[in-house]
Formats: sequence, C-alpha cells, structure tokens
Amino acid sequence: MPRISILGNCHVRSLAACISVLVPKSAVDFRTLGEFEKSTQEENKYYFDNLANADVIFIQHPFPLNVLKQEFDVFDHRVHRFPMVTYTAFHPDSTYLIRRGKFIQGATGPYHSALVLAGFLEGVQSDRLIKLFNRFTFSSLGYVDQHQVATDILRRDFHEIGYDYEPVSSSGIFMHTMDHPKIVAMNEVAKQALTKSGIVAQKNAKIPVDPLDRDWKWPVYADLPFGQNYIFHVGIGMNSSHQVPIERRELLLSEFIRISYDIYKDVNFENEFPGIVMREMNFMRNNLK
Amino acid sequence: MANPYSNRPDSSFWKRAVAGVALEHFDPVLDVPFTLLPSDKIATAGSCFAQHIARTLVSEGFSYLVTEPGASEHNYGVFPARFGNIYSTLQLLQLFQRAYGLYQPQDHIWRLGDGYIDPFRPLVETYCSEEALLEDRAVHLSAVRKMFEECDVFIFTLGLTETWMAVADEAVVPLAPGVSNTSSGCEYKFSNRTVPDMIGDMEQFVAALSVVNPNARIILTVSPVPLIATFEPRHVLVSTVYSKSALRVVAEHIKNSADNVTYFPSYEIINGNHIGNKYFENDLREVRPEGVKHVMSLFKKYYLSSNEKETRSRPDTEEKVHLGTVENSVIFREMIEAQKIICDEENIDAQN
Repeated sequence: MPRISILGNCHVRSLAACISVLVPKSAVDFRTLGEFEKSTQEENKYYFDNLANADVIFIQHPFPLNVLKQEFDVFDHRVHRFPMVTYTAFHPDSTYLIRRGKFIQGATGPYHSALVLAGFLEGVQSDRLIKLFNRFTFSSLGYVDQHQVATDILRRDFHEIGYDYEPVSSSGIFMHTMDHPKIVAMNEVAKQALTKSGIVAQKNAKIPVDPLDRDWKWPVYADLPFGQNYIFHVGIGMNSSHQVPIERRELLLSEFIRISYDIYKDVNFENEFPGIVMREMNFMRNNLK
Repeated sequence: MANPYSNRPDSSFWKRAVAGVALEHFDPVLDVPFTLLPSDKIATAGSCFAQHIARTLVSEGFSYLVTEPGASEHNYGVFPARFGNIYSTLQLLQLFQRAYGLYQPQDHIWRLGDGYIDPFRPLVETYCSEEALLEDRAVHLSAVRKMFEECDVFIFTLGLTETWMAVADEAVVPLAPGVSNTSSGCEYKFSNRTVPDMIGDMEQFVAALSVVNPNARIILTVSPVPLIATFEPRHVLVSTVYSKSALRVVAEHIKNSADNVTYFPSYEIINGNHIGNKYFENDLREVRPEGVKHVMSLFKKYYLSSNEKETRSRPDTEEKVHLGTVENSVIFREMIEAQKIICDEENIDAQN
C-alpha cells in the first residue's frame, strides 16, 4: 500500500482524488501551499517529519521549491513533479485583483472580469456594458486568438518536466476557471505522475467526483471559440472539513456585472490594477460612442 | 510611340462594347476576383435596389442568409435581418456599431399615434409599447450580429448621399421624423455626405466587419434608382447625378483599398447609355424586372464557378432577357414580387 503525499496549490485536491481511484490501495494525503503559509513553523515541521513515511511525494511545478528546498532534499529520490494546469484562453478576461497584498473578492470569489472592471472605471452603465460581451469586443481585445499561445505555454510547461500535454488538451473545455482544471484534466496528469513514480495505475478506473466542481466556475463566453453561454457558477458557504462550498448557484451575466459594480464602488483602486484592465479601458475609450 | 490602345480588348472601346452590342449581350463585368459556391452564405443590405438583389438571389437558388426569420407580412426575410433599407454608408456603419454595443443613439424610440416605432427601421413594425420595441430590437440586433459573423459574402448597395441625422449625436435615420408621420422630441438635421465622409464610413465598416468575420468578402454595388426627392436647393436630377457619382467614387476607392472588396456594375447595366430608359418603369425611377434579371444573370454568370453552374441550372434561369415580354410567366411572377419592395423613400413623395 503506497503512501503518497502531494503538495501544491488547489490542484492537489483533484490530484489526490484521482490517485485514490487509480491506485485504490494507496494512502494519499495532500497539503496546499496556502496551508503552509497559514501554519506555524512547528506545524510545518511536524508535517515534514511525517513526510519521511511517504513512499512517493508529488510536488507541483512550478512551486516555490527554493523556499522548501532543504526539507525536500532529504527525500530527493522520492520526489516527483507534476505540472500546474493554468490556461487563460477559455476565460481571457479573467484576472485577480490584489490590493495591498490581499485578494479583492468579487462576484465569483477572487476571479474578476477585466472587461467589467474596465467598464466600471470608465463609467459605462451596466446595462450598456453587457452589450459589449460580443465577438467584436473579444476579437478586438485578442481574446479569440489566445488558444494557440495558451496551448504553447502549457505544452512547454508540461514538456519541461516530462509530461505530455496532448491528452489534457483533447479533453474539451478542461478548465473551470483560468487556474482551476476540471477533474478530467487532472486525471490525465495523475496517470502520468503515477507512471513517473513507478506506481501502476488501475486500468479503466472511473474518474472521481470533481472537488472543484462546487467551487466558482466561469463559462466560456458564447461569442468565443468553444463558446457556451454567459452563466457563472458560484459556491456559497464553505464546508470546513472538506473545504468545498455547501451550495452552488448560477449567476447571469447581468447579475455578475451588477454585483461586481456594487463591490467596486467601495474599493479605492488608486490606479492599481492589472495591465489587462488598462487595455480594456483603452478599447472602450477608442470605440464607444 | 505606338498607339497604346491598339492592343486593348473590345471591352475598352465604346463602339464595340456599348454602341455595337445587342442589349441582351451587354456585359460590362469582364472578370471577378472570386467565385461563389452554392453553400456560400450571402447577405445583402442597402437601398430599395438591394431588395431586388435579395429576392433574385433567393429565387436563383443562392444560399441567401436569413438570420432573423419570420412572417413576410411583418417584413421578415426582405433582408437577412429585419433592418429595412440602409441608404447611406453612415447608416450601415451605425447599424454595425449599434449591433455590437459600440453606439447607443439618444433618440431611439419614436411615437406613431398610439404606437411606438424604431427610428432606425421605421416601416418594419409598429409596437404597442416601448418594452415590446426594446425586446424586439435586442432580438433583431442579435440577428444582425449573426449575419455579420456568418456571411461569406456581404453585398452592399450604396443608395443615397442625402441623410437625416439627430443633432445631438448624429444618429442617422432612414427617414426624417416628419416624413413618416412620427413624432420625436429631438432635433434632426439634413446632411449630404461628402466623398471623404463616406470613404471614412466604409473604411471603418470594412475594418470592423473583418474583426468579427475575417473571411467575409464584400461586393459593392451602386443603386441605379434616382432620388425620389432632394433636400438640396437644386434640381432633383442634379442631386441624383451628384449622389450616384459620389457613391460610385466611394465604391471604387474602397474596392481599390481593400483586398476583400470588389465592385459589381449593376448601376452601369441599368443606367448605361446603351439601354436608354428601357430598364425603368414609366416613373423613370423604379427598375423593371428585366433590368434586375439582366443584372442578376451576369452576377450568376461570373460569381458561380462553372461546375456549380451545372448543378444549379434551372429551366427559367436559362432564358434570355427580352424586353416587353411581361406575359412571360416567370417575369410576371417577378413583377408581382417587385411590387412588394419596401421603399421608405416613397413616403417622402406620398405626402406631397
């Protein structure tokens, strides 16, 4: 019964779920970088002491390994990397907003629409802004052409640590948000990770329930390639033991914009926002009559 | 120096290409930069003459794109979406801008008696409430976007230089509020578009269309239909000649400046010296079905590749153009169809 430890960002929950199904007799535990940051030195030391019992350790790439290098050097031969799956082309206007080192929470948690924020900052009425979610806007802002670039980046990241990106890319829309992969993508990562570690995965294993499915989910906008609709999904409340939202509700684009505008009213941006927002603001200045 | 004209083809010489050619063989097209497949989706817009083109494309079996289907008695199917006649280059550009949320005219609902009408397509429908109008407009503009994004070919017939626009924001309407018996709280002004104005409009439109549909090709034509009235303080014929000349220059300029744009000489086919007024009705304005047929037979000849033509040939499309054969059933049917052409401009004269 292999003991497997996984360290990384929010992907680790999905990877752990997949590995548990692919290797039914394994004992899998995981820890996120966020947990490291929140834990005391003593707690982290306790974690690393226990890591000595692991047969295989999967750590995410890129991961701030330099911070933890000393600890991992001890387990060097047992450490295997797995790729971080981030892909912006399905959600090209998605961005984080950070004020004074903290994430600003929006209508869908930490994920904001650069288009919506630009509209707010430019004083575009919400009922007008919604009309800008169309092919002309998306093409003008380069949203439509992002897949090739995003694919090249992810393929390179996978290749760097010996992973094959193609099975992931062939699984359709494989992201919930720009950095939350669907379980189908993480299952491919899990299979390859197990092969690298020498652990034999069970063939024809079912894909497990997606731990990120109840979290925030963004649509691929209808006017983009692979477009679906304009319905967002929001997780409400948080189950402390499983760290997943208790409820989930749908947000129409109009609601998403309204809630976002309400939140932004109380934020003092002080001209601190990502470059992508500046580009969207320029688009509005140049095109809106 | 040798005579530089000596090696020019027959089409370069008036006597051989115009004066000495039987009417039914008159062909000023020579060549086209691309051909169409039956599956290519064609969209049309423009003035009244554009409606003739639309109807013929449908009857000739072209793949005519309709993105806003509905009952013909409510003016669906006249054009791909229910936008009515688009007379000017600025009206076309603003249609695109309104469809994509780039432009929101201030004066956007007019009253007509107890009803409400859309100033940008005043003859299309009278609505019972503002809400009904706005709801239908959202559906309509969605269909307009679909048309721009899905068409393989967009045929635009340039119709008028004379326009009416809102003083506040230069929103162009096809008919001044008073012409259509409608009331508006806003002021409107007359504007006779200049060649540089219209070139600017068309350049913006061509660029914008390529953003949403990079593969779309554009065929420009100029409407042969004279102005029904002019607001300029001059003779209507003088205004007509200015208008058509300016539009023809704009079409040529845009054709020469954009790779995906070409010009089809329907104006010349209908209005050329060879024909006199034979392709016009007695009012010297309305184009007779034979004229439309001549235009469209050449359109078909050049734009359908030879293989496709074989698969599409139908007995009636093989007929030659003959004048004065209204008893011919096909032409008679077309005349009936032609009577259904909706012309906003008729309203200008109707009240005078």
